[in-house]
Amino acid sequence: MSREIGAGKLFCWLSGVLTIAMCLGIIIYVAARGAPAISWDFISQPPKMVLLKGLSGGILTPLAGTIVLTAMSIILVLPLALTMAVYYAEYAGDNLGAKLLRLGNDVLAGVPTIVIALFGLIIFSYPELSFLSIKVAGTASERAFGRSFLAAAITMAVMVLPYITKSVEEAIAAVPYTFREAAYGLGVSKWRTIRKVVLPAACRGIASGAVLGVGRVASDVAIVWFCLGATLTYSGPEKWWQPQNWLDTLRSAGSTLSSYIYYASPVGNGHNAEKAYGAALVLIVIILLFNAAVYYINGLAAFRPKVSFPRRKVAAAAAFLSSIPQNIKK
Amino acid sequence: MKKRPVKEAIVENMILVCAVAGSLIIFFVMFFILSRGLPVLQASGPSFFTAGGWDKTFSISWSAAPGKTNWRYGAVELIAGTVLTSAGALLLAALLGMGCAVFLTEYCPVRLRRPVEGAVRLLAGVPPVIYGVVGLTVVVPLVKSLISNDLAKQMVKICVLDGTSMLAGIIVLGVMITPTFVILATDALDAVPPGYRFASLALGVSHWRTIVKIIIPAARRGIMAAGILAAGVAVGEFIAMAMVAGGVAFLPNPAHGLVFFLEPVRTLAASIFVNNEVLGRKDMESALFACASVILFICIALSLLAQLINRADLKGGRSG
Amino acid sequence: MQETENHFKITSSNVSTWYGVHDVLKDINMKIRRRAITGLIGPSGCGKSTFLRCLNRLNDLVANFRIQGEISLDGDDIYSPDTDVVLMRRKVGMVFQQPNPFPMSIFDNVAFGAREHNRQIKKTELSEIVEESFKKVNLWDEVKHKLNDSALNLSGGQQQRLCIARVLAVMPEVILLDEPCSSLDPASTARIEELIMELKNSYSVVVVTHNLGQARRISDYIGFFLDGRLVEYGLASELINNPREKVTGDYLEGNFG
Repeated sequence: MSREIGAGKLFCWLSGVLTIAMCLGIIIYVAARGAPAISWDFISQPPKMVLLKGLSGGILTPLAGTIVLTAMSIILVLPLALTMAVYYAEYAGDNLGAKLLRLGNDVLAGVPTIVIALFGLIIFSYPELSFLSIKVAGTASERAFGRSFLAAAITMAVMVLPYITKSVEEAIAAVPYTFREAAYGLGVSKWRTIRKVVLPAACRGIASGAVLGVGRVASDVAIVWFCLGATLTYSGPEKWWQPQNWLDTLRSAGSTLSSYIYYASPVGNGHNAEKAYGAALVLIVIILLFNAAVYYINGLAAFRPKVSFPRRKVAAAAAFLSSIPQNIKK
Repeated sequence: MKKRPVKEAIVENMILVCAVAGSLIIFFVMFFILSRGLPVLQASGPSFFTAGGWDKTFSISWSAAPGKTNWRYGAVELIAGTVLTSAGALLLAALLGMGCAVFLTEYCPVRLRRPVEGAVRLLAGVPPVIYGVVGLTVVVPLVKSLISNDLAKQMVKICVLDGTSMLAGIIVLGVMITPTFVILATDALDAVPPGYRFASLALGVSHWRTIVKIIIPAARRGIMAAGILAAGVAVGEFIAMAMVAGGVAFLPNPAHGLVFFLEPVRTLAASIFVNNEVLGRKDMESALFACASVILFICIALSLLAQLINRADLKGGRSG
Repeated sequence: MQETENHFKITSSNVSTWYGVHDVLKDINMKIRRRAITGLIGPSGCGKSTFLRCLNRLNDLVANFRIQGEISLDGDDIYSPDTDVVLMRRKVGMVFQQPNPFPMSIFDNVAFGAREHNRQIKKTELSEIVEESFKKVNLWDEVKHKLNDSALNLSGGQQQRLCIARVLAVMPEVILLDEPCSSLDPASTARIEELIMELKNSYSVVVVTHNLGQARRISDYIGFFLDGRLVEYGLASELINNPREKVTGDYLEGNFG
């Protein structure tokens, strides 16, 4: 019996140590291989791809792409996710319809981004939607190019909608009922109670929901590859900073850090592992900064996730899935 | 009594409209995917799941004369690839993750726990494409070193053994989903009421037996949910799989003994990514949507399974 | 009657404990008698529960917990490095404030300990132990037809009796009860009290209680704790009727706590 205990304990220790070693190993490995690539030029120069010579230059446009795309998708998705979450948490109740809506939400939260990306590309290739990207000239069947910042941002918004909704809904549901009772007791209406009492009390959860979305948008490759562009070339106007060019810029294709990493990896066209690791390090740092932001928002003491399994729907945890790195609130 | 302010009614109706719109988007996405995949699924029938030759059919369709379409595809290699890599990765993650979760909740020195959890969380936030790059430059060469030249020559007529393989896929995918599993399983173990532990220890049951007989069983729903979520991630992972598991839709043959694990595979999700140049050709596009539909069905099944686990009034479940 | 060492089951000498920098118990000397009920009373936070948890080393699980002094069970120091904590706890069973049945069937709850201690045990033998334990706590007739139901479906009072049966099934020598009735209704409380009084025929029982009436009804001996000290300890009737210390009298009259 004591041999069994020894073996069990040893196994737990070993797997614990192995997991930690893996965590640190991967981070340190990426940092060590990425650090040499990083320089001011790497950050400030756009990538150059010359046939037969391979990839050179820096990551300026992918970096900008990550920032622009992330900001656009979050701005697009947040109002919708917020209203949906309020509806689910405060108005929907527990009838069959609401259950079905929640199930749909949970299922879509579990659908891999590649599937959503496929959907996005086909949808935005409809000629009727060509105002979001550009028309493909010269083809017999009129088709929109389907790849642009606008198309990618909308697709990203669809992708993160269920996650953020679920996360915000949980944050709202976690607001103690006594808060609402107190407000109702003062004769405050339901909507005013939500606006003035519930949402402010849930604002941390809402913030971490948003950050959760940021993490997912920044790490995704599929939607970028399918809906933003499968190359590194930025196709928009050169003088993108001029306001009259902004719309055209957003209608043009581009790249992000994660697609750059794939492109620069040994299986991509760029085939330059050093650049890939450099970009990977930058991306990890960005994600780390966002995590630190949540950590800061939620206070040091609460560096733990919500425990949602025992009391809430397990399926709800589909949303939880992505929240792992970011959803660090009590 | 005064009537409800008009403004309030407007706001509440707007919320309803938005929520319905959002839900419609969600269901529209699912409906769209299924409807686009239907032509191929219908034309192929059950053979989509049992017949092979994905790559070959694709190249035939690709070079077919304009106007000629082919709606029959067999995706058994992709389905096998998805199932094998996901199952292998889940096994790896569950073993390692369970050990690690128990380590964190039971054995880890208190002071170390927070930093360790932080590191695990960080790893869970690392984008899959970075796992792909690390896998490609670290794991794949390691697997390649297992393959002797003779073996590669011997197998070359069947498939190319270059290190990108099911084994590499399982390792990378396993490492990728382990943090997810660890975090969720740790939460589940933490949620076990301390009274169970005290009661068991006070009965003179050793710490290890308490863990095995009381704490893990009490947390089993949460642990199963962790497994389901990890499985969902594994099934949907495409970029890392496209990078390290081999680019060809090959059906590994268990008759090859251990070489089985060194043979390349491709998953459903990776196929959508790898084959994306065919988009625009209605028939092949529908084949990719058929793959997407299968993934969607798996997601629906996992979601329902998770709800079932939660709902089922298992013996010993909490009751009111 | 002259009392010899043999009358005592547990001896606590100069026990002091700390949680971090907080001292909880200060210099407790107490001899607990065999086959008797010893009640521990005092206002909340006085350390009586901490003391109880020292007797089976359950405080070991608390981070930053520190203990000095000696507690011996039948003359063996339970805090000595040679002591097998697990074996010691088998002799010293414990019942908690909140009924805490395991999330298993009614049968498995009681069988669990016995099965763990003898993993080759025969099924018939196990059933006998379970039945006997349930009978001792007068629960057998209520559960015999639903042994495979979840224990969590029982009422609070039934759950607490099940928890006592669970302890009896591992055949302990000492039973510690930490406010066993505080979450129960009066009818269940009466049944548990009755049960505790039956237990003293075969076991040494230590009960922490918040309820003076209960202490009076069931205890043979009472120890009064205040601010981490054992203020007074003696025969229940004496301590209640003629407390030696003034604070004890104040407490018993309900002047504080």
